[in-house]
Amino acid sequence: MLIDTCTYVGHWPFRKLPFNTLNELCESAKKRMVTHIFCTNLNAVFYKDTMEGNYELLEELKSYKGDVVVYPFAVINPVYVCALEDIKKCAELGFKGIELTPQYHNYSLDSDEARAAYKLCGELGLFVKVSAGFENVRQRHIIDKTEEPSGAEIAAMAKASDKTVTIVNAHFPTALGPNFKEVFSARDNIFMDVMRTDSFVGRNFDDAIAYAGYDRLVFGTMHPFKYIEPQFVKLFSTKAATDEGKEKILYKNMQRVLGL
Amino acid sequence: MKNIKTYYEDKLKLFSDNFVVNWHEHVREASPGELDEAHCDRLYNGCKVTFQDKVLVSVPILDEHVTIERCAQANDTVYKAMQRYPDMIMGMCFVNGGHKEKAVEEVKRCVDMGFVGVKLYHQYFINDENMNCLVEACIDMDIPILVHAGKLMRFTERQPRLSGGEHFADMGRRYPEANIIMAHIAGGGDWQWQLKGIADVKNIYTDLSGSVVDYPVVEETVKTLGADRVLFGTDGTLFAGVGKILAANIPDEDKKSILAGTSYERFIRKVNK
Repeated sequence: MLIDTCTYVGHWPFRKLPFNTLNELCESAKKRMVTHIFCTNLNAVFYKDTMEGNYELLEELKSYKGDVVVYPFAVINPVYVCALEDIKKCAELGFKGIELTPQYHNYSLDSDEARAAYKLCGELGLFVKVSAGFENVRQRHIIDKTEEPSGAEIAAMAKASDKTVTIVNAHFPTALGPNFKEVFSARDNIFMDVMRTDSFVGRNFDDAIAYAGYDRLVFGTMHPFKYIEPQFVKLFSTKAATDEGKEKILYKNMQRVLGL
Repeated sequence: MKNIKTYYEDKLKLFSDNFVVNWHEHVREASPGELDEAHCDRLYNGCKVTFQDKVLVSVPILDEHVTIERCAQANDTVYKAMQRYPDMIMGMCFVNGGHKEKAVEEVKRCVDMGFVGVKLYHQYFINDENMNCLVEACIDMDIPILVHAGKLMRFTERQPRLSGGEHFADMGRRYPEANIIMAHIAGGGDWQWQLKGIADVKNIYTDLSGSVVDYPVVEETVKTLGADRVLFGTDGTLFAGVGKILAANIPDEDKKSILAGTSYERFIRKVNK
């Protein structure tokens, strides 16, 4: 088993991605031993009504016949009209969780709306994913002036409910600040995706293990924005990770939460 | 996990079964002229576990104005790394090309100590006329020049003389005999801009280093330049940098050629003699 907690279908407005459909994504993931994916439709980020993109993902899923198990995630803009109703609808439609992209919807994660959305997700059993952004800040399109959510913002939102399973995709997890660390340490259902945990001469990945512990790191790739194999090299080259720890990161932590 | 590990180990045979030259890495100074040995050891060990045979390192100074004495200190640090791990670490000599003849003298000092080539940072655009003296000397010495590069979409004020693809293309056309590497295609912002800029200038190479692991940066680099103009490098992103080339959907022969740095092999051989 290998659970990738961060994949996408759809189009990115600023660069042609190598593929855009669920079938292509799953075929590529399967070749690389991935058995389960959390998947979000990128189009939804850029539609005013994100639900249009979320429905697109469900449509694709209906005709999907592959082996890779797909957990659909919906993009929700908490400051858009009827956002809480949309979250309830997503739960009914079978979405596993929601993805928040505050950078592209002009709100803060510590706003009342974001906190209400987060709390509702906890009540409905929906996961919440927070992304630090899709492209490296140095290469973003001239009109993409977005800033990543801070650790303090994520922490403020997470305080709205301790029930919500949360996955944070951050550039440097160890630099999210004391507010985040406090909330992270007090909970057992906030996870950090290792995708952006860098490997500068082998150190930062080790630092992330020391910071979060094996039980709270999960495998994520951002495929097809990013290659999958760099994650394997980081994980299997670090001396800080035990075999048991690697298994937890690759799938066991999410397997437990998903009840598989 | 066994099947994932087997998949990974099978992929990594590309490294263990072939000669691998990493053209873009760095060591650090503990203080000016003194090697950060712990960092150097981590670099060495990281390269060992990923089966890299030769690693070319430098210590670039990022200040706008760098004296030639400070360059020499940085190069002395590199020399200490070369002595610490002579089986693997090779040197690239950092200079501020604006010092012209003095920069050339420092390069010659380093070449005499066994350095492979020159490393330039962002003190000048690569096509600035102040670089002519150094570039001509490197042509005479038949040594390569690795140049910090990028097309930043933000923070441009921090590196106002950062060379983009268009600067390299201009210099390459003016000096077709020069051997110039436009550094870290995956570490300097808009890599599509960079590739397009140098596509037709055959003596401009690039290395694959940088923290960006965008799919399909390797495929696009090879498609645009040809594998013979692409070198392997990591620039600090040691493990993810290895993963990038393992993942790429290009022929194995191209991967092997990139890892060996076939087009630049003579520069390594010259020093190893």
